[in-house]
Amino acid sequence: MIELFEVLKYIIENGIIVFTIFIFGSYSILAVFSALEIIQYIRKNSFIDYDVLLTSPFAPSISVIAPAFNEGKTIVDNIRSMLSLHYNNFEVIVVNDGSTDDSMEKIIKAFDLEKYSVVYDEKLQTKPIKAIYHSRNHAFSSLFVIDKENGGKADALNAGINLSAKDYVTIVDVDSVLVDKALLIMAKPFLEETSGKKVIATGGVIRIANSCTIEDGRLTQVKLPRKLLPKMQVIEYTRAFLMGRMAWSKLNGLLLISGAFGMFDRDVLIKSGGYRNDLVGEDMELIVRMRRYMAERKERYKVSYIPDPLCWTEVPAKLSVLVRQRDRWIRGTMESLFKHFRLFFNPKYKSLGMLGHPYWFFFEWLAPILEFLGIIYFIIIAILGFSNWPFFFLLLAVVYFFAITLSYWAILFEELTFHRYNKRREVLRMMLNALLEPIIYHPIVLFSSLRGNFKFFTGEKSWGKMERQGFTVDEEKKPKKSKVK
Amino acid sequence: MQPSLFQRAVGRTMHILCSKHFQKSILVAFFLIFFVGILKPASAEAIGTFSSMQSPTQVSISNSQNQVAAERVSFGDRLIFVHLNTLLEQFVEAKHRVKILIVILFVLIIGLIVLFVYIFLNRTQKTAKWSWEEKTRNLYQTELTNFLYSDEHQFFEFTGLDKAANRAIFIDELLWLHRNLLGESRIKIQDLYYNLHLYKDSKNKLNSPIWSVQAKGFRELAQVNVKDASNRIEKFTHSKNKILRIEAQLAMVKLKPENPLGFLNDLSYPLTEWEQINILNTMEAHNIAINSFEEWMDHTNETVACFAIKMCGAFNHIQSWPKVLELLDHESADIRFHAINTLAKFNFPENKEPLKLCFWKQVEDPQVKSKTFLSQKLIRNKLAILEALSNLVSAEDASFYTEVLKSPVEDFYVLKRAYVQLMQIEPAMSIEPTNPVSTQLQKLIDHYHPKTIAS
Repeated sequence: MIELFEVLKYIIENGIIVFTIFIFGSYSILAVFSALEIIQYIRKNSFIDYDVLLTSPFAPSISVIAPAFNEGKTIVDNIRSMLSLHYNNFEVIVVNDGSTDDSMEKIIKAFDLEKYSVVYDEKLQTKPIKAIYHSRNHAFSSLFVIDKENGGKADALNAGINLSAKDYVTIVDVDSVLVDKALLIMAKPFLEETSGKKVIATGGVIRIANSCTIEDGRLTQVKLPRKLLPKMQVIEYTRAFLMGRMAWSKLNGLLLISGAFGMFDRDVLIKSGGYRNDLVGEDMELIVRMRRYMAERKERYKVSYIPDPLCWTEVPAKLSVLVRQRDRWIRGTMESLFKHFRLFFNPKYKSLGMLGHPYWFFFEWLAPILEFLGIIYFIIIAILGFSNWPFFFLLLAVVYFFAITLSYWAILFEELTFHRYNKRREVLRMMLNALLEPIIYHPIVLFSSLRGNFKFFTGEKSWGKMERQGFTVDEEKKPKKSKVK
Repeated sequence: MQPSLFQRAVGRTMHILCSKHFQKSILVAFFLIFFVGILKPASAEAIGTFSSMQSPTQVSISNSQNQVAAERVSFGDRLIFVHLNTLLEQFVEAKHRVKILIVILFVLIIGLIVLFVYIFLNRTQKTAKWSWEEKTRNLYQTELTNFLYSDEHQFFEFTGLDKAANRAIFIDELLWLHRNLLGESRIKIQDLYYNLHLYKDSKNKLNSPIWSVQAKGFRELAQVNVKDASNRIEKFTHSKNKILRIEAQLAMVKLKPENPLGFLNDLSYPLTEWEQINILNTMEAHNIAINSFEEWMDHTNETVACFAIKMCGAFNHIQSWPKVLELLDHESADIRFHAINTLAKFNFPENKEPLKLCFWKQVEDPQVKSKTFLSQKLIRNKLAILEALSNLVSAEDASFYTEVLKSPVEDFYVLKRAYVQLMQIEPAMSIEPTNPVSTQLQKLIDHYHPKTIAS
């Protein structure tokens, strides 16, 4: 019996070490790839004049689709901000997804809207549309507002996609702030596609707007968040967007374009079925499905990625909201991975099947579970008196320092590239936060992942309420200038 | 205005701080201090001296030579030596996996410290560099403004142009003014660029092994119209490096007005839409005219052919109408699409019948090799044809539109466009939907209203 226990112990311990080495290895390789890609991107970008697209008759047409649910606090400012984006050939479609607040009244009043009768192809099934509005004012002629029954974000997006008749659709969270040139920059990869390799989507970096200064729906000053949780998320987002996704883009294995900001080829988006309404992680699932659609038709394709900080959004500052968000994200990941399990190590799907899907399976879904099981195992071993404490602390130290090294790499990337936090104090704070992140923030993420797993296997599909402070705070006193708390 | 001694000293300090050599020296110094500090106790003397120790209290020094050595070492150092020695012994005896972890940990800690220092050095360097650049930029802006409003150009002196870094900023400022000024001031700026021999700096950039420096050189030379550089730049129009290729192509458009698009003749790389937009923009910005794009319409590189057809429409080359009309029968759906759009721009009544004929030819041809999104391309072409016909509709076209509505067209927007155009000429006509999207067509018929449909 003791021998069997020893064998088990040996297998588990070495298994953990092997898994850790694989994770370390993959993160390190991704860091190298993203460094190469980012250096190339920055060098090339210094020669790009995006303004040529502003006047070009060859510029592609774009629909910006923004679903809104009870966003009355900020919706008018946000629509104004979207309408003032620098692009020539675009329309903004705001989808009011059955808001119960005064969103619709505010929009109608602010933009002088009237009911608009249009016949279009409803290729994607949605909840009934109550009305479509268009402005009487010529200055807002590119704005369309769909008022529909509540059906969730995916349903609202599908309604917007149905109405859109442009070449590309851009999906934006209505409460996000886009930089002026966002559409010009996002459109470029589509214009660079060469014969035989279609660009089906472009993803952008999401940056954290908490504590930043927003004026008239535009970001005017970037600041590091003051509160602890958003500050930790700055490190996490920098790591995920500048390191992870950049590298996956280089490997053409990007599986996720954030639901807050992404541009898609409208044809491929519709042909692959649009957003699925029965999922909580519809953004990831859509990309997996679009890639699968292309691979199954043996079409060469690419999912591009833009590292420029184009979209700024508010992240949860409250623990409960953060946990709900992360629990939903992990359920979304699981839905995509399990619904498309056919891709798992399937050579037919090339990098998607052999690299992207297995990576997400092992290192994004399985890693937190193994981490939790590891902790349980160690507690049992410790209780039974078999623990090797020096080895435990040594392993813990390695993991801790590796996590910090990755965060420092991400901070370095940010420093060498976009350099948005321009005070030395802010960089120092970021580096100090990186030291605390594995101790304070990581356990929260781990707990959320486990909760998400539990909910997934027990069949719970709630989205969870995402409370936002809103960009416009103290509107009466400071109608033009606001800060996100 | 000459900078003061203090300003020069500050500028010089900033320059030193910004230099890569300084940064490297700091890093090397840091490494030396770090490694000497760590490895000193591990030296043979120290190890030998304290080899028998188990703890600080068990220190026993065997011979007088070692006693002298030990006296030179402080208590703190002894503590480090002893612990290091113990650690080394434990390390030697440890299992392989522990050894690996210790090595990884050591590497990670060193890497972390290096990263920390590097991030700070980089920030300091950047701050100093930006500050210096801003000051230098302001200085040159003032000097150039004074120069532009001065009458004694030949006696005008600019500060610090003997230094390459200053000259680089000066060239940037000069070219910025060149881009944004017109008339006499622009000529003055251009003359200054030549008189100060700054074109030599730009030409030297072409010899750089770094592509981004070369590309910057192309830009500068093209902007100030250094025509004799065109021969050196031309070979880069076929470079494997995409950015270098585009920059060289744009430079050639400017520098070779007699044959600005000559590089297209043997271009084997695809000419992406981004490149096409940039070429068109450069041609429009500098009023560069081409007599005819026809020579490239049959190019073996399909992207070049598409570009030529598009440009023909953009520059309204109606003399190329017969050639464009011929392309309606081209096997490539993309070439047909651009031909349709160009004909739409010409808007000749003679286009009508060929376009109608072309509409019925938008079907999948088993002979065509490229099937990438062919069905979508064919629908796109049909929509483009209906759009091209929209300004030419007349009563005799009713049968064509009726036929379209009754045909097995599977796209709603094609039907919608056809129905709208039919209603323009025969508002009273009733249509029996018979095709696969008949539900939508029925909806269209039920909701028909000129304002609604026009959208």
